[in-house]
This record gives sequence, structure tokens and C-alpha cells, in this order.
Amino acid sequence: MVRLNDLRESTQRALLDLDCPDYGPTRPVEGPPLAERTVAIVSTAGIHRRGDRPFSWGARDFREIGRHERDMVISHVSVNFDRTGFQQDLNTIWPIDRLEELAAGGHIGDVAPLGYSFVGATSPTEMETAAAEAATAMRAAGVGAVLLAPV
Amino acid sequence: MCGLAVVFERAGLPTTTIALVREHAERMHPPRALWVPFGMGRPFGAPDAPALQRHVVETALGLLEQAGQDPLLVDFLQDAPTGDAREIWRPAAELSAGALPAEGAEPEALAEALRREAAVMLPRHAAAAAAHQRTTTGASGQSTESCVALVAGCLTGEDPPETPGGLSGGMLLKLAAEDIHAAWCEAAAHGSSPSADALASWYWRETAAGRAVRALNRRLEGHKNRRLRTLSDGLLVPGM
Repeated sequence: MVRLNDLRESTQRALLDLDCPDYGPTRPVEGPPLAERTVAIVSTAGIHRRGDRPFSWGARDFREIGRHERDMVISHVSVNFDRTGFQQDLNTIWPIDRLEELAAGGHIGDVAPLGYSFVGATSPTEMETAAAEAATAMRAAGVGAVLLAPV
Repeated sequence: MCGLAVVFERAGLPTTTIALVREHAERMHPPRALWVPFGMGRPFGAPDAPALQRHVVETALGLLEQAGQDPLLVDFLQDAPTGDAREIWRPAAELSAGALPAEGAEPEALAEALRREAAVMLPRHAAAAAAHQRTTTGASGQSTESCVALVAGCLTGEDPPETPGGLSGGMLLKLAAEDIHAAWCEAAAHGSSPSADALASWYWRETAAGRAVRALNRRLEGHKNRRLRTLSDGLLVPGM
């Protein structure tokens, strides 16, 4: 079990110093049963398709990742997280095969045609414009739930 | 991550968030969050552990069906398998390219050791990639051979090329170093189950590549180019 106190002191300090704006409580949006919802993955791991332009330092934009895409690389600015899990199994950070299983079993309605990748090292406030753009696209695609995955 | 949750919810999208740092979720109040007790870089537990990954996904999605108006922060208390610890795991003997230059060796000696090691490692990586039908190398857009040449050259005094309209030299060098890391670790993990710590310890301490990138990091600390100098501020080598 890994808690903040278990990490190196420098890592603890860096994590606690990250910009975490207090948005105050947000009223949760409700929806139909999971079995009727299309689910999208959104990650802040800085992953993208091989051949996509790498994320720049301080990136505020995102990359789209197709439902059937499995050939991915990372260009996240930070090297202070384990990448070997991702190297061995994409689902360690992008659980697309697990979502497909849940859809096949009828536990969720469907998997969204696109997921989205951001770089989590960027301040949340600086990502808001791009995040709103991704939200508009997901709503247009009928997404009914977003699974947010950090790295 | 939590900030994205708030933006999405305000746009009418229900969200559920995996939290690796519980303190961040406590400060930012995403509507639904599942704190997981896994290391950074492994939000769904561990590689090749589909049952655990699925349990995490199902638990996180299950929060969407819990009624309530207050932010929900739930703890996921199942540990992940860690793999073989650094005291136990050893890479296959075939991955050794002979004795390593000492810590603090001359850059030329480290660069030569890196090239010698690449001659051993690259065929092993190709075999591992073929077996897995997958590799995560290639973020730099270069072959791993080219990445080795770039890092060896920069270690001995060259600067990375600046390509108009392409990646900056600093970005190219950073991604080349990361492609080498990916190739070496994919080759070493093939056919065994090392923990993340075991792989990190091996790569950074016991390979010519790790020592070369650490030496490159030291060289860049005083570089006149600001972007290259910035690389040495934790963007090439993790805090050890």
C-alpha cells in the first residue's frame, strides 16, 4: 500500500506543492444506470498514439485516442512516476481492455469512440479551455460517464 | 485530474476519478473519487493483473450509481502485486555487456560503454517486442539506435539538433533518453516479473545507459542553452 508518507521526501513535497485550486463542492451530475451509459477514459498520463506530436512542456492541449488504438507512447514531461507498468501492459494506465470486457458483459452500455489524454503536470486552471472542448466533444458523442485516470 | 472532473461535471458529464494522491482529492473535491493505494504510474494496480484492474474500474464506475450531493471519496484497500523485489530479481545474464565504467568515468568511456551495451540490448529488445507484439519506444520519432547515437554524442559535448518546425533539441534529447529507458526495461522485463523498484534500480545503477544519462544530466547542469539546462532539473533523471 502506497501512501504519500511512503514516498521520497522530495516527491512528497513536489506533490503537495502542486497547484490544487479549491473549486468547492461540485454538484454531481446524475445519469441512467451504468448498463445504459457510454463510458470514456480521460487520462493525464501524457500518452498518445505513436506518430502524434509529443506533448510540449507545460502542455495545455489534449490528444484524442480511438477506441481501438493500442499502439501508444508517453511524452509526459515528468520522469518521476513509474513507466514500466505501462511498458508491460497498457491497461495499467489506460484500462481500455477492461472497459471493453465490461461492455461485452453488459455492465456498461458501451465504450466511447474516443478517449482523451492530457498532461497532469500542467496546472488544472490552464487546462480548463481544452477540457471544456473535450467535454463538448464527449457530450456530442453521447458519453454518459467519464473515468478519469491520473498517473 | 480533479480539476478536469470539475470542468466536465459543470459541462454536464458525470465523472468518477481515480486518485493516487488522496490529499489532492481532499483539497479539490471532485464529485466522486476512488483513492487507490498504488504507486505513481500505476493507477489501475499492476501490469498483467486483469482481475485487479477490472476490480478498480468497476469500483470507480460503481460510485456513479451512489446517490448523494456531497463529494464522495472512497478508499480502495486491495494491494497490488508488486513483482520481484530488487534484492531478488536479476535480469537475464545475456543482457550484460561486460564491466561498467566506474561512477564518474570520463564521458567518452561512458559513451563507448553505452554503444557496446546497445549492441547487446537492441536485439533483445526486438525479440521482446516481437513476443509482446508491442513496444512503447518511439515517442522521439527516432529509432532506438538513433537515440543511442544522440545521447552518446551529447554526452561527449555535442548539442542536439534544432529542427525548424520539429521538436526542439531539448525535447528530442529528453524523448531519446526515455526511448532508451523503454527499450532497456522492456528487454529486461521480458520473461520475468520485476517490481518497478527493481527495474528502476537496475536501469539507473547497473546499466551503461542509466549511468550515461545521469552523466549527461550532470553535463547539462551548467549548459549555456536554457532549455537544455532545464532538462537537468528533474526532466531526465528521476529523483533518486
